Amino acid sequence: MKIIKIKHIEDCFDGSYIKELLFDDAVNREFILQLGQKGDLNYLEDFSRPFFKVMFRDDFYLKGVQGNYSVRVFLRDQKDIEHIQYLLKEGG
Amino acid sequence: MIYFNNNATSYPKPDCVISAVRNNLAEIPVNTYRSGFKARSVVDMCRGKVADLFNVDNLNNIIFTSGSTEALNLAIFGLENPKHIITTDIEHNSVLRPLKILERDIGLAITIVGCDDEGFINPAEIEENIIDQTSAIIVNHCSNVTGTIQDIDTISKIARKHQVPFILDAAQSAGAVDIDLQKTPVDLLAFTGHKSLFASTGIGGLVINSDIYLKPLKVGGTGIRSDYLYQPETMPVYYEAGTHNTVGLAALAAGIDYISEKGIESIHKAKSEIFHIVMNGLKHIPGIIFYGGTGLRNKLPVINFGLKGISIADIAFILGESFDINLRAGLHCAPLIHNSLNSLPQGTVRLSFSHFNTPTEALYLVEAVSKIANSVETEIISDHYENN
Repeated sequence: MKIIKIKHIEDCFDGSYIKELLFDDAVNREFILQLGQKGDLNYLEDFSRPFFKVMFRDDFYLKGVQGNYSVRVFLRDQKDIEHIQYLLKEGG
Repeated sequence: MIYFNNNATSYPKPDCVISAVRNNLAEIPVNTYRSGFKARSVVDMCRGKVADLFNVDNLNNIIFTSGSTEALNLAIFGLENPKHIITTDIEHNSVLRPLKILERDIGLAITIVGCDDEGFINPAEIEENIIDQTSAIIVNHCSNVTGTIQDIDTISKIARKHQVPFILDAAQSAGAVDIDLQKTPVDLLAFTGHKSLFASTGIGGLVINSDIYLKPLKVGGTGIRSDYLYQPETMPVYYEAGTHNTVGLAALAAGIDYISEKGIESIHKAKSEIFHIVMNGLKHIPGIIFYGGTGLRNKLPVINFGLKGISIADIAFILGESFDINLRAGLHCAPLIHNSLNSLPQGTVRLSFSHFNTPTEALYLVEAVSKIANSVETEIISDHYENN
């Protein structure tokens, strides 16, 4: 899966920030499980549209819903966005 | 999509409001101050309806604004040389931020009265804090977080007794609670159209219910006395520079008509029924945490909750993205009340209802929260076994 757009969502009071990543394909189970190996995966599969969250650090994580074309990433440093791009490239 | 975010903006809007907006956009604009007897502009028509809603004698004391934030900005920044203002923990940032700016810029002293764990303030605490320099008392009539309705009859009488102007933030209560300004001596009342008055966003107002003078927040074109190079002192144009939001006013007038026909009590009863279905379902879910109480005594129907083992933001995200339920999570632009609700730093998941919500929607919500709670519990249990 490729990131086709990165949209800035919010600057938080504590200095962290939120971005939305748009992919060229829908997020699927395989992608979630691969990404989950890079961090601490919380995967709630029982819903018709399963939720997942991958914690890389307390202040650096990603969450989304299986089937969507986008995920939200919560970042602390500018370097985190490069890191997440690298992880997603590896994972996808 | 199911909508439980009516304290932010009400949805759906009644058909009559949608029709009024369509009709207004299709009509040739009427010049408010040049139409004479030929046509009554939507501005005048709406002013009359707001006057009826709040029982105001003088139509010229109703100032239209973009909403309650602008109305409160006019009320607060318009005060002449304020020295000390009493307000409360339940206030919205539309009050707190103007006050903090005045504190920083002109040395305004602010006393913030606390509330209990449901969001009720004690009027006696307001009276205890009045000093000779007190320039105003500002109170949120109904908390946008907990729905608690404050005892404004007592507070307004305290304010009159001490001859301190009383500013009421009626953003949530206008259209949801009967407000009679002949009976309740409020000096300034700020309201918005897009919540319980069912209008569009971008319309609201400030009712000046005494002889208090305010500096205008904005100046400019008024349609009258164009040769005069200062802001005409004529009311209400003194405070209404710029072209009116006639689309919003048409929506507001239709919304007020809708409430008058339907009845505030009947709308409240329908919302309360939805509240009870949701509350009765949620309270049996393992791990549920309620904030701000679980009853409806002196409250508008609002529920605040969280779940053990999952963040407030994640609950809202899952409900939105996995279950298509629109609601609000966080501090709800009222940061101080969360000290008393014990909901810091994350805030709460807030459910705010409409009489348009159905029992089926209410049960779907309960089922969705229950599924999240079960999944979280399963996840916690499997983590426990993996770690041991």
